[in-house]
Amino acid sequence: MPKRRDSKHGRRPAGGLEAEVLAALWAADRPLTPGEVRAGLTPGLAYTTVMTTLSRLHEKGAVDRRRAGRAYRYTPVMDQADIAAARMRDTLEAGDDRLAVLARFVGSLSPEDERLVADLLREADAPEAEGR
Amino acid sequence: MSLPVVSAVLVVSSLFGFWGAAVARRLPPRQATWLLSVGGVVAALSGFVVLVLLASLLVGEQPDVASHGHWSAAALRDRAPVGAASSWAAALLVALLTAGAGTVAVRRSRAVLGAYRSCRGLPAEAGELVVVPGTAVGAYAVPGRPGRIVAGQGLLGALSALERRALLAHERAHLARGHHWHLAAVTIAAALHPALRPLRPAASCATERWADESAAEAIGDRRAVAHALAAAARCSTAPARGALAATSHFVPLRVASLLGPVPGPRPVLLRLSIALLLAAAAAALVAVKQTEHLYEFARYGQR
Repeated sequence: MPKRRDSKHGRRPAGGLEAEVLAALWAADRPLTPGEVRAGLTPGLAYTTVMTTLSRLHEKGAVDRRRAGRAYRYTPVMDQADIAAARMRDTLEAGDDRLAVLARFVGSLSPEDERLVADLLREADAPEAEGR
Repeated sequence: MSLPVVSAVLVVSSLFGFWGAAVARRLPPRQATWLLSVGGVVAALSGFVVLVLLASLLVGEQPDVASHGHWSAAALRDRAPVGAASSWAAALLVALLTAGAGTVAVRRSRAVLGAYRSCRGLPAEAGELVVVPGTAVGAYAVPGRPGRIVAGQGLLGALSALERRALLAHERAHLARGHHWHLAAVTIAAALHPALRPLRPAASCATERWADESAAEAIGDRRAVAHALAAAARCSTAPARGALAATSHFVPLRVASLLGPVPGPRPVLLRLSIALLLAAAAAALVAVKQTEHLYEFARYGQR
C-alpha cells in the first residue's frame, strides 16, 4: 500500500482513478458531465485530471460520450458491461467451489447484526456530532 | 519412533487448530493471515508425516519387504511404538485424509483456474472494474492476471464517493496480496489435518481484516471503510447458494475493529505461536529419525 500521501485521502494506485471514475458513472445511472463526475469523486481532484481520465476511458472504449451543449456527457458502455457481467455471472453461479475463490466484500446481515453495526457506527460518530 | 514423540506431534499440531484461530483475532491481520496459512501447512504436514510413519511400519513388516530390505519383521514389530491395530488405523486415516485433501486441492485449483479464465475472457478495455448492471450482486475480487473487481451497479449507487474508493481499495488489496492463495493453503491444511478446521473461518476473517486495513491506509480514513462495510451490507442480498451466503462475512467484527485503534504488534503471542509450530515440526523430524533408527536396529538384530 502506498505510504506517501499527497492529499487528505491518500495516494491512488496506477489506474485507480479510472476505476473510481467508472464506478461514479455507474453509480449515477445517467449521463454525466465532467463536472458532475468530479462531484461524484472524493474532493481534491483537479478538473483537468478528471477530464484526462475520462478521455483515457473513452479511448479504451469503456465509456461513451455525447455532446450536450458545450460539454460532453459520459455514460459507461453498456454492451461491453453486459458481456463482462454475463462472464462473471457464469463464475458466480458455478457453485460453492468457484465462490470460495472469490473474496466477497460483505455478506448480508441478520437483523441483530444490523442493529449492532448501526449502534457501533452511531457511537463512533457521536463525539464528532457533539463537536459540531 | 517412540510413543511420547508420536503423541507430542499429534497433540501439538492439533492444538494449533484452536491456538491459531484464537491468536489470529489478536494479531495485526497481515501477520494473522501469514501465521494461519504457513502455520496451518506446517502443523498439517507434521501431523500427517507421523501418521504416514505409523502406517509405514505395516509395509516394513511384510515378509517380502523385510527380506528385501534385510531387516527382521519381528524385531520391527517388537520395537514399534504402537500395536498393529493402531498402525492399521493410521494407514486408514492416511488413505482417507490423502483422498480428502487431494479432492479439495483439485477442486480449489479448478476454481482458481475458472476465475482466471473468466478474467481472461473479459474485454481488455473494461479495466480492473467490472460492473454488473442492476442490483443482483454485491462486490467481489476475482483473482486472475490481471484480477478483476466485480461490483453490482446497485451497490455502487448506494455508496458515497469515499465509500466507493474504500470498496475498490479493499478488493484491490485482496488481489494484490494474493489472499486466495492463503485461503487455499489453509483449506488444504484443514483437509489434511481435521483438527485444524477452526483455522478456515479464522483465515477468512483475517484476510478480510487485512483488506479493510489496507483500504483504510489507502484512503486515509478507517471510519469511512467501516461506513462502507455497513452501507454495502445493508444493500447486499445473499447469493442464491454457496458457502458465503450463510455468514455476514464478519461485518460486525470488522466494523468494530475499524472503529477501534489500529492493531498493534503482539510479539509475545506471535513468538509463542512460532514456538508451538517449531515444536510440532521438530517432534515430527525426531519421529522420522527414530523410525530410521528402528529400521537400523531391526537390521542389526537379523545379523
